[in-house]
This record gives sequence, structure tokens and C-alpha cells, in this order.
Amino acid sequence: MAKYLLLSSCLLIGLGLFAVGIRDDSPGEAPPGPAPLQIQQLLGGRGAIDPGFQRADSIRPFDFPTDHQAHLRYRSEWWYVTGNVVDTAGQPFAFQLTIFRQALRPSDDQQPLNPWLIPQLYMGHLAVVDINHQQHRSVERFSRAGPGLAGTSAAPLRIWLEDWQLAATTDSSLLPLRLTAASAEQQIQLELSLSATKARVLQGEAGLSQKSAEPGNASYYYSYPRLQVSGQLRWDGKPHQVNGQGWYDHEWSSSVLADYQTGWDWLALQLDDGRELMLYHIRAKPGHPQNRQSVLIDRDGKPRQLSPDQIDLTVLAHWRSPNGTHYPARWRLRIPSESLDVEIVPRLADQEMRHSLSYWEGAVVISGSHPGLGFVELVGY
Amino acid sequence: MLSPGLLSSWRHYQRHPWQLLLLLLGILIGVAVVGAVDLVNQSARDSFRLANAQLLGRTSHQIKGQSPLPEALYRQLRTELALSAATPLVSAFVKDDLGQGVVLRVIGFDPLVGDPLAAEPLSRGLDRGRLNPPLGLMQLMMAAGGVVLDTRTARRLGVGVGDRIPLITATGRQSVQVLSLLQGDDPRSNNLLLMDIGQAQQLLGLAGHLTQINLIELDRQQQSRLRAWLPKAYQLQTAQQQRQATAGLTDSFHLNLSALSLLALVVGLLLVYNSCHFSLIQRQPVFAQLRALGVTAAELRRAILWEILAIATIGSLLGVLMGIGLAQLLFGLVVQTLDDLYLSNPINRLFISMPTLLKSFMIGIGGCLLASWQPIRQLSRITPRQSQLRYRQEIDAARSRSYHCYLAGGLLGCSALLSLWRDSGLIGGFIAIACLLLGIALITPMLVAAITQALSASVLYPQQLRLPLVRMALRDCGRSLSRTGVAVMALMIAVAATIGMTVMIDSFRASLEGWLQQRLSADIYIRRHQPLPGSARALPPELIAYARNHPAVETLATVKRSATTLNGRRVEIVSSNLPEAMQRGYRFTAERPAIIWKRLQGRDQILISEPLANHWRLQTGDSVELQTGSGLQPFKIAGIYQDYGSDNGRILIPEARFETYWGDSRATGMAVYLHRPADVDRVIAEIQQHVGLAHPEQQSGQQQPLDVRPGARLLQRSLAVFERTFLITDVLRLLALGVAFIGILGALMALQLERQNELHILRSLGLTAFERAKLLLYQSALLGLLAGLIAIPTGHLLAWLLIEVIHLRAFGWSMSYQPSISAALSGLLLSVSAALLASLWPAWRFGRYTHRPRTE
Repeated sequence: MAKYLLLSSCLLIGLGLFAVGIRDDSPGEAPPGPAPLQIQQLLGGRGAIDPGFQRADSIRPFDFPTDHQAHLRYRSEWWYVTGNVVDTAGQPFAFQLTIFRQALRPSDDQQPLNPWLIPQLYMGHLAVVDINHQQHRSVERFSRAGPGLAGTSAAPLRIWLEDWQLAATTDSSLLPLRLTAASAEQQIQLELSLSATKARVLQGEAGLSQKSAEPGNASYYYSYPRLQVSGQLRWDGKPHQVNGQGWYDHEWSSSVLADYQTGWDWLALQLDDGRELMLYHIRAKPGHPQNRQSVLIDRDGKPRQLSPDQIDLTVLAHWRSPNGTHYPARWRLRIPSESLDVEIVPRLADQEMRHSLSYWEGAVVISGSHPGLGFVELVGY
Repeated sequence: MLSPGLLSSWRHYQRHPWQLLLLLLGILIGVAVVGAVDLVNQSARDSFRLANAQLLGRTSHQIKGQSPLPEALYRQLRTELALSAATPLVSAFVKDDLGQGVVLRVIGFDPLVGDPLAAEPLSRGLDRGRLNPPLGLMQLMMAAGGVVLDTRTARRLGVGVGDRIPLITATGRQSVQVLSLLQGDDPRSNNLLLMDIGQAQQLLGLAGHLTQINLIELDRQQQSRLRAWLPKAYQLQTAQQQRQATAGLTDSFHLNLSALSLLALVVGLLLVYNSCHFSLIQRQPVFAQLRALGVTAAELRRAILWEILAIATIGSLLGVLMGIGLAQLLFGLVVQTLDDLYLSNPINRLFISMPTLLKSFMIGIGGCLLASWQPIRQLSRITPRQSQLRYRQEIDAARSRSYHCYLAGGLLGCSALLSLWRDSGLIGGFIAIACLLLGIALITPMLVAAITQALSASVLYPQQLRLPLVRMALRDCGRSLSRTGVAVMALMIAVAATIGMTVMIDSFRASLEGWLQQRLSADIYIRRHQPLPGSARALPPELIAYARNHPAVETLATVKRSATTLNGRRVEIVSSNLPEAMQRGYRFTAERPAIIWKRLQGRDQILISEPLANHWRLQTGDSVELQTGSGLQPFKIAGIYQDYGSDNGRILIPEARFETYWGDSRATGMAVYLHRPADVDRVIAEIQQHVGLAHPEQQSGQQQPLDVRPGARLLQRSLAVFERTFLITDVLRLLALGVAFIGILGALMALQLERQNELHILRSLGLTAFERAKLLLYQSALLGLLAGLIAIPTGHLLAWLLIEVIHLRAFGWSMSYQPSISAALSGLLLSVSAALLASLWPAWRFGRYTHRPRTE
């Protein structure tokens, strides 16, 4: 599961006014124009989607390593890596790198003569958190596919947005993977090696992850729920040799939210006992069905769906962002059938990504019966 | 209540409104000309700066190459060097095909990384508030040939949203569609077609290529890293360097305009001095009475100062207003000239800038105060008794003559020195001219006095008493120089300037014609029709082969024109197979041509044009580094040839050598030499017929059509451009003459007014009204004649300075100085007729005068 919202900023530039709203520095003199697009409008499946796009409407066989690359016949796609790491001195950090792809219109597989005219936009988000100093730095960038500016390629697999990239080190498989991303402006840099410690998990129903009851409002979605992360992280130019655990998601679809759905909470928890728990809750307006999904992956990588009534997730506290948004900021999670009773606390309150659109994406620490670390994404607040 | 001094001023001008009028007119024209030229120059410069800003935005550096950059370079910058400050740009000039021929600049940019017009560096996309209707990135990116332009340009082209604009581009006829209009009044967006980079590449036939890569705020470390990484064929330039590379292009032109406007100002100030001086001197008896009545010298001075200030303010204000009008007129001419000469003035809009207006206003006020300073000082020095004596003024005038003599000597010496001292540069050259004109102007009254004395003596001795009026006029001329001296100076300067410019332009034309005739010696010239600068494409090889094998053809010269940089300055580079027939078209500054052509065979030898040699002080045998396709390369200068075709300089290089260093040397044009006797028209018809058959696409409009024309026609056209170039100087010369004319008019009016006593005597002596008028006409004809006579050698000296100093230093052109009798005669005629014309009305009044004289 991931970040439909982020996508929406791609949509914004794609369909709305370009440059618009992306960073409106002068809200006081907003010129006349269409009202800001609502998330639902952006993510909703209603009418807006060109029928030329393929839809995630049925279970399909995955074909790896090809499926690690972009699926240009679908409208949107993203590759997502997060992790909690510590350096050799024991100083903890967390990071996130997401590369989104958004098609401006359905493109056949035939490349246009001029690469600038390939109707694919890419957006990237990079964030690094220094837990000890309680600092969160993030940066956003855009590029069109253009003449090799962003895209994916095979043998070896590569997913890149300018100099940010996820590059496989062998021809045959995605992992082990080198992650390279940096921001001179934010003074952060990642040069990490990711290798699998667990098998790939197809999310939802054999990789088809339903987002609402309507057919086609779904995505193809798989994860590597636990990666061994090692490498170098630079903060203010100072190198830190780090080690830790990461999470990898790849998801693509052409429409995802129903018009009554307002946003979602997504939790990816890596428990110290070697199991992972992924939960998402697509929030709906009152009177509409809430979509709750959760999956528990056991030590040998076998996923097990949990039914919504097995899970009790309570928000204990809120955090108010500088923008005035109230985000849940502390949870109690109980799964009686697993004798699990934990508290989930952000490792830093302000891990809000304030870019084209704002959302909260951050590292959390789990304490209680099953301690561990994880990442949480809160969208639509 | 006004002070007695001011009151007397008021009454004076009430009685002599024409004097006030002339005073105002002098200030007005002087200020107007200076203001107008300043506005025009400033606008042309602003246009130039803005045109640069269109491409540079707020970038600090850019990467350019000899030819369009491969876009892979940009990809590497972003993906390997992580230079997120890099923005790609594709740009070219096009012309509208709506019949207006407006030169438009297409700029293709990537809206995701930067808008070239954005106020903030790196702000993404176009500002939403300025687009009407709002535009999605998808529309801009995906709509084939979609453009955004500003409302002003759209209005000019007569198009609206959704309309198609047919264009003439380097690749042929195309059309684009208006997606949205940019609101607001950013002058940078004038004549601009903004497009998505991919669409612009398609339109301009530049797929896979970029015109330049802009870099924003590179720090030192990034710069050195980039320099080390960048392949040798590309250069990292600072924005400053980029500006400099193109700035020299029009500087000399503006300098010429400024010099002419200063000339008008000097003449105008002389006139103001004259009028001020005269209006004060005339009132000396009144001032004397005021002094006698107890008004102190300081009070009087203050009153006069206020008077001058008031008049100067009104005159300068009116002058500024007239200057704006005049600027509109001049601007059209300047734009035409720049279009002709450089084909690259994308913005043609007169910017009325407040500082410029204020400047000319202040020049008017300051000039008036300066001009009246001496008369006022003089006035307050003399005693009431002295000031009542008319002869006293002539004594003063005579006394200051020796002083003027020394001054003139110093000025002329300075002029000679500066004109010989080459390092004083263009500024030194202009100072030399100013010194020359002022020096001769200073001694003009003395020369007039001497000549009239000599003449009156010679007229007297033959005892030809039949001409009493002529004798009177002669004597009077010498006597009244305190009144007329300055007017004669002004007339002399204006006429000398006219003669000088005429001689210079005639010399230039003669040299140019000779040069063109020699250079354009081929019978037929073929190239692709080039609707836009720098858009030449290669000729079909088959056509070259056809022409080569045509039985009537003796020799064929193939030529490719492109550009490179020498020491950061853009120069034209011409590569050719250089057949002997073409070699004959070149004249060298030194050595026998045969030796030079032989030397050119040697390794890495090139020929450079004279302006280039003069600009960098290069000599035969020197080594220069040129930017080639594979980085900087040293070349040796085999010879320096005369060339008036480009003031920025040209380089001639054999085809094979060009190919070695720059790659593609496919000819963009050819010159065809026929066997004698030649039937040029028949061969042209045959070539055209061949083109029609073998290359139907050449004429279909999709491609650039071929231009096949006889050498004679090319010559005509080149000369026509030359004539247009000097149109603007004609206008300014006329204005200077106009100012001088008003000066003469004012001086004669004053003289006439002063002579009331004399008139009374003349009447008593029995002179009829006609005879009295004749007396004045004789006198002014004499003044005009003398001013004209002095102007002839002065004008020739001026022409010599213009040719040997100014042009050589500004453009590097040498031309042969050719004194012109016709210019001298027409100058003389101009001078006399201006003087006579100016005296018509005063003479009429002189004749009609009936008032009883006032006695002292």
C-alpha cells in the first residue's frame, strides 16, 4: 500500500495548472481559476480516467523481473523504500525514498520519436530523519521521462529519477539493490545496499489489492517486507556507516479511491520477533464502508490475512502540524488472537512531508508485548 | 510682487516675444535631439539586454557549443553529475507567415524544471496567474505545436487562443497553435513563443538537441567540477561572458548615434548661449539704469538667474516632450538598420524611461546655466556707466579674442595628439573631433573679422564706390561679431558636420562599392533562401554537381558560413574551396596576394578580416585560438583581408581544414563563374529549371526555397542596405542644421533690433526700405559664405578623423579618404542659403522699421 496522495500532486501538475499549487507562495493573491482539486477528485475513479489506461480489475500472473519495471499502460505507479538504521556509534536514523510515475495519457508501448514527448512524469520524495537530534529533512523533485531523465530499465534493473536511483547489482533479480539519493540543498545523502532477508509478498489477493468495492478500484501490489540495509548515510556532509532494516513496496494501478473515501492510514511494522505486520485503513465518509486490511507475515515469510474484527487500533494522541493539520500521533494496537498488545509512537513528532501536498510519513517505535520498529503513513487529514 | 529685475525681464520679453521664442526653440531642439537619441539608444540596448534575458533568465552560467548540444549532455548533467540547477533550452528565431514578417523567438523549455521568464530561479512552470486560459502541463506538453505568447504579441499578430500562426522557420513553413495567453506586461515576453521543449524541438527540427543549457547559481566547487567533466567541444560560460560575446555587435552603432546627438546638443547650447548672451547684452542699458537706481549687482544677477532658469525649465520640458515624439521616428529607422545589419532585433519597442527623460531635462537646464554663466558674470562686473556704452562690448569682444586664440591652439593640438595616439581608443577619437570642431569654432569670429577686413580693403581700393551697401555690409560684419560670432560658429559647425559626414559616407560608399564589385565577382550566386539569421542549410550535393558540370560554367566556388568564437567574441567563419576566381575577389592589407594564398596552403593557416585584426591587434604570422568542434585549437594567420561585411570580424579557411576541425563542411552557398561571353540569365533559367525537376520539394514551400540570383543584383541589394544604414545619420544631420539655422535667425533678428539708431541714420541718408533689407541680406549672405568657407576645410578634417580614427577604431574598417568638391560646394550652398533664409524675416522687418530711435 502506499501513497495515493502523493500521486495526486503528479495529477495536479498533469491535469491541472502546471506549477500551480505546487508551491503557492502567495496565497493572498490567488488568481481566479478552478478551485483547488480535492483528493477525492484526484484519486477518484469517477469519469476522470482515460479508458485507454488498463485497470487492475483481475488477478494476473506476475512476471519477474519484468514486473519490477514500469507498467506504462497503467496510469500511476510507485516504488517505495523505507528503513530504520543505526550507525556504528549507535546513533539511529530513518529514511524514505519514493519514486512515483504518472502517465499524462495512455501510451502505447511504441516510443514516440522525440523522448521529451513521452507522456510520463516522475516525482520523487526523499526524507532522512536524525532521531537523536529530532530532525526531519525531506525534498521533492519532478522530471519527465525525457531523454533518459527518469524511468526504469532492465538488465540490470534500474529505477531512476535523475541521480536518485534504485539499481539492481545483478541482471537477474531486483535484490541486492543499491539505493542512491542525495539532496545538496538539504545536506542529506544515501548510498545504501539493500538485500532480501525474506521473500517477496504479494499483497491483497495474489497481488491484487482492492481499495474499494468497485471493480477496478484496485492496484497490483507486492512488497519485500524486510530488507537488510547497510551503507553510508551523510548528514550535513558527515558520513555515517549504517545498518538496519528496510521495507520495499511496488504498486501500480489506474484508479484507486472511491469518491466517498477520504484518505488512509498505513502501518508497516517490523517486530523484533522476526514477523511483520502491515495494516491499512482507507477511511470513508460516515455511512460508507471502511476498508481495513491487515496481513501478518511470519518468520519464514508466509503472509496471513487477518480479519478486521481481529484487530483493535486506537488513537491515543494527536499532533498538530505547523499547517494546522491534526494527525494521529500515538496508537494502541491489540490483536488478541496473537496475544499482541503494543503501543506505536512516532520516533519524531514532525515527520510531515510538506511538499506539493502534505502528508505524514515517518518512523515509529513499537513497545509492549512485541517491540519493534516501523513506518507509518497518514494521508488525507 | 516681482523684483525690479524680474519685472524688467518680463517686460522685455513681452515686447520681444520672438526673442523668447527663439531662446525656447534653441533649448527645445537641443534637448529634444539629445533626449530622442538617448531614448532610442537606451531602448535598443534594453531590447538587447532583454533578448539576452529571455535566454538567460537568472542563470549564472550556461553551456554552449559550436553547434546545438546533444541532449545526452543534459541527461548526464542531471543523472550523473546531479546538477539539479541545470535547465535545458531550445531556441531559434522564426518569422510569422501572416505577411507581417515579425521576427519571433521560439523558446522551448521544460516546464517541470524551469520557466525562463520566472521571477524566481527554478520556479516550476509558468505562473498560473499570468495564463489565460489556465493551461495544464499535459496540454503544453502534448498539444502538437502548442505555444504560449503574451497578449501584446498576440494582438500584434492578430491572433487569439486556439488560432494557428503560420511560421517561417529554418526548416521551412510550419504552424503553431495558441494555447494560452500570458497576461501582464513583462517586456521580456515580447515577440516570444514559449513552447514545451519537446514540441519546440519538433518545430525547429532540433530533435535530440538543445541550444543551450542554463545553470543557476553554481558554486565554485560545482563550476570546477563541471569544467573538468565537460567534453572539450563545449564551454561553460558565465552569463556575463555570454552578454559580452554579443554586446560588441551594436555598440559601435550606438556610439555613432550618441556622437551625433552630442553634436546636436553642442550646437543647441551654442545657440542658447548666443540667445542668452544677446538678450542680456541688449538689455544692458536697462540693467545699467536699474543699477543706477540702487539695485545691487547680486540682486540683478539673481533676477537674471531666475529668468534663465524659468525659460530653461519651460524649454527643456517642451524639449523632453518633443524628444519622445522624435524618438518614435528615429526608433523606426534604428530598428530598420539593426534588422538590416544584424537581423536579430527580436524586441522592437520604444521604452520611455523616466531616468532618460530626466537626464535630457537636466542637460537642458544645466546647459542653459552653463551658457549664461559667462554673460551673467560679465554683466555683474561692469559698472553702470560702462554698461551703457555700446562700443565697450565690442572692445571686450576684441580683447577676449587673443584669449580664444590660445584656447583654440590648445584644442587643435589636443585633437591632433588624440587622433595620432591610437590607444586613446574610440573615446579619444570622439574627443579629438570635439576638440577640432570647438577649436576651429573659437577662431571662426577672428577669421571672419580678418577676411571681412581684407575684403573691404580690396573692395575699397579699386574705388568701386558703386557698392556702398556691400562695403557697409562687409564692415558691419566685422564690427558686430560680438552679436553674430556665436551664430556663425554654430552654422560653421553644423555645415562642417554635414560636409564631414558626406565626405565620410562618400568615401565609405566608394570603398564599399569597389570592394563589393571585386568580392561579388561571380556571375551567379546560389544559396538557400535564408528567411532567418543563421538558418542556412546545406545545398543538395546533386545541385552542386549539376552546376559544376554545366558546360557554361568555368569555375564553382562553394562556401559554408558558420560561427565560432575568438577570445570569447563571436566571429563568422567562412569555409570555401577557394578557387582562383574567388581568390581574385580578395584584397589584402599588405603583401602580394600570391604569397598569402600560397602561405594559406600551410598547416593550420587561416585568413582573417581587417576588422578582426584591428580589434585584437593581430598581424600576419600571429597565432590565434579558435573554438572548434573539438575544443580550442591554435591557428596561424596567413594574411589579413579587407572586409566591410561584418564589423565583428570574419575568418576565411579552406574547406578541407574546416572539415578537419569542425566536421560538416557541406556548402550552404555557391558562386558560379561562367565562361566568357556569359549569358547569365540563360544559365540561371537552366539552373532553376533543373531545381524544379530534380528537387520539387525545394520549391514546394516545405523546404527553404533556393535563391538563384545574378551577382549584379546582389551588389544592388547590398548597396541598398548600406544606404538605409545611413538614413538615420541624415536625419540627425538635418536636425543639427536646423538648430544652426535657428541660431542664425536669432542672431540676425537681434542685430536688426539693435540697429534702430543706424536705421534712423540710414533712413535719413535716403536708403529705401528695399535697400535697407538688402543691406541685411548681404550681411547674412556674407556670414553664411564665410561660415561655409571655413566649414569646408573643417569638414574635410572631420571626415579624415571619422575615416582614419573613428571608423578604424570602432569597426576596424580602413577605407580610402576621398575629398569631395561636390560636398564642399553643397556645404557652401547650404550655409549661404541657410543664412539667407534665416535673414528673410529680419530683413523684412529691417526694411519696414519706422520707429523713432531712442537716444542714449
